[in-house]
Amino acid sequence: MKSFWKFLRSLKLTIVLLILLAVFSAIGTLVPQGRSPEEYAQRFGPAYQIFKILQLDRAYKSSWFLGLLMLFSLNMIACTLSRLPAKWRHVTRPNVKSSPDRLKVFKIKTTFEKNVPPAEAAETASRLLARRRRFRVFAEKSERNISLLGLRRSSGWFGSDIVHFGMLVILAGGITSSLGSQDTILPLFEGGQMRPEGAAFMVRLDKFETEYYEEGMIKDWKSTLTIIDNGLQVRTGTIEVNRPMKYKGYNLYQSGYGLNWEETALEIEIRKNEEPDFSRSVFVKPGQVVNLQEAGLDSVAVRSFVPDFIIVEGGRVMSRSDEPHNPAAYIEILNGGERLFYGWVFSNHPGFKAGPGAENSPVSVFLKKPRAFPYSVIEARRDPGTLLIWIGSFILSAGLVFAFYLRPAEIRMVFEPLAEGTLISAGGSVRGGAEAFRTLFEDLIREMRSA
Amino acid sequence: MNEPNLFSGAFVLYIIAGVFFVLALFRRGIWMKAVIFPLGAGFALHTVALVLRTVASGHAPFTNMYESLSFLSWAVVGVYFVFDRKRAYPKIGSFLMLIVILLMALASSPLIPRGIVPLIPALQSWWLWLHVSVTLLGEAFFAVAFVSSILYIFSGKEDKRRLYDKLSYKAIAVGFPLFTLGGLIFGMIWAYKAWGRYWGWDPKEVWSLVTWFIYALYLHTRVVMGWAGKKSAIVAVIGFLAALFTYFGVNYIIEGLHSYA
Repeated sequence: MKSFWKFLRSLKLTIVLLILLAVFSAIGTLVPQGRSPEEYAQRFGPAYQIFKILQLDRAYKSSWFLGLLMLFSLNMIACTLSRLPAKWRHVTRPNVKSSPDRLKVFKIKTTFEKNVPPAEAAETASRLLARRRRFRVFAEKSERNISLLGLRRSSGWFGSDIVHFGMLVILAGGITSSLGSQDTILPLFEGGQMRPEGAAFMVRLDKFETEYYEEGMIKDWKSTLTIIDNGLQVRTGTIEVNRPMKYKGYNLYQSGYGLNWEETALEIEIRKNEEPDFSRSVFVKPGQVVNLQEAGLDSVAVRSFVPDFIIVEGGRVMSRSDEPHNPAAYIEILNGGERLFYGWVFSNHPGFKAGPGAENSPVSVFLKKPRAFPYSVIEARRDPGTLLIWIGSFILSAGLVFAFYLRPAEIRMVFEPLAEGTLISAGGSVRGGAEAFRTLFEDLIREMRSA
Repeated sequence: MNEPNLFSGAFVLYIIAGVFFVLALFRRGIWMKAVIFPLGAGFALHTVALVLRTVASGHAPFTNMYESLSFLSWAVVGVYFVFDRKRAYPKIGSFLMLIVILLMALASSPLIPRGIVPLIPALQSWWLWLHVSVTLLGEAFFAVAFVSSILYIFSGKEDKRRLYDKLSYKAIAVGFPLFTLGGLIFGMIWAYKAWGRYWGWDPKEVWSLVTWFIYALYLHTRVVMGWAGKKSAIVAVIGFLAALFTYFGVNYIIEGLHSYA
């Protein structure tokens, strides 16, 4: 048990953990996270088996990563707890008694004589330290001499402990988040309403607007939302990106927008090559078949639609985005059980005939530039860990200030009676930035000599 | 004067300052005194360039690669002024200027678009100012630590080495709190406001954490275990490489949410 504690509180463990955490975190960024097994198998081949065992597909939730974080927390707790009592004692009930020999270990030190009794010299030193320089002064008298100790900015000693405590609070926040957070994506049309997972209220979208820059890029999305709780409309407000709305522990974010292509009727124009005057326009939704009741044209079907056509490896057709940058539809026109026309039709390239089904067809087919109905994508999130994260961050920042900018200083003196007067030995130390402290020390000694 | 001209003017003056620093390696007195002119003038032009850019674009001057490179170079020059007030370290100055000139050259390269682009919705926040400026400032201090550590590793004289070791620690002691606050904490707050979660293991987030772990390692080995000198210098160099990877590598190699800059 004792050796386990020793292991936990050892700084070597800290070093090893920091290295392992850095390395494993980095590895997790080299492998895309949380994809499907098929995608990994295709991308990495047989190597996928290896990192399935190592859980690299979800590196930051893998048992070894969580184990490392757990050990890291225990290490922080153990280190802090094992050091704290001694530090606390040093600050509140320090060991005051010293000797000229022991003062020799200080880098900044001096010895001088003064023509007053030890008690008076100590009194002067104590006054100069306490009043002028805000040191807390402790004195201890023995038969042979008087020892004096001045401490300043002692709270700086606790900087690292405060940082570690802040880290632990942040980690606790992380655990709380991963156990208790709920996240619901609410794709909403104007007038539509949905209930976030686990919530007792409904969110209704009253109005959705996309703002554009003059250059045509998206500037912002604004959704006016009404919260309906218990049948009552309790709140209405507008959210936008970077400006969420809060209600009963839930944050409602404007996460983006979507275009509802599935429900968008595409306008398709059919012309007969041999009858220049013939033109028939018809609205068809993707997947739908529409009867034309036209001589020589029975029906038209949109088998597939992509707003931003692209051909990827293996000849597969994909949509690069949801935006109608290159809208294309796979259209079939049937007549008497035979395919009169089949193939991709592009609204940006009206004359283009893709493949034999279009080239040899007696009809030409055109796709008008489609416009889909936009919907707002709202993210409703409840994350009970967040508060702990902010508290921890605040503590951690305060601790960093203590650790780096409050430099605890210590000055020790021993006053020994001489036949006439006092022999004064003094030494001091500070954490970091010794130059300023050296000046302080030298000024103090000068003032003591002339006092 | 417009922003591109001011930027080029600053670039030229930084090159001249770099030459002065190199000359100061041979005759320190005069050249270290003289370097203030090109360096100060370059910094002034650069400051005006950044202000003009901010006015023209209406947003913070670090929203794409060109802008953030320019801002980072500016921060490194600024940090040099603060760090070497007495202008006593011509070698540090030379190598820092080399970094600044490389960053400015990269910013001027035709591969990096310079145009002002309107902000995408996620970037429209005051946290952009706080998060990016404090992080880059922290990284500018890391750059100083990197230079002193490299000088430590390649320097022969014991008194010089002791100096570089100390400077490197001093720079990290300022850079680490800034990086923690700006990079990680402000980053979490902004991510929470914009994306709805404070941490999402996005590659840029992970790499800042990796950088943070490495500098934490530097501080722990040094303060508690008494490491100094070469071992510390190597950790500081690795830390800066991780910071650079967080800054560049993640944008160009790994895809993620932080794809703007």
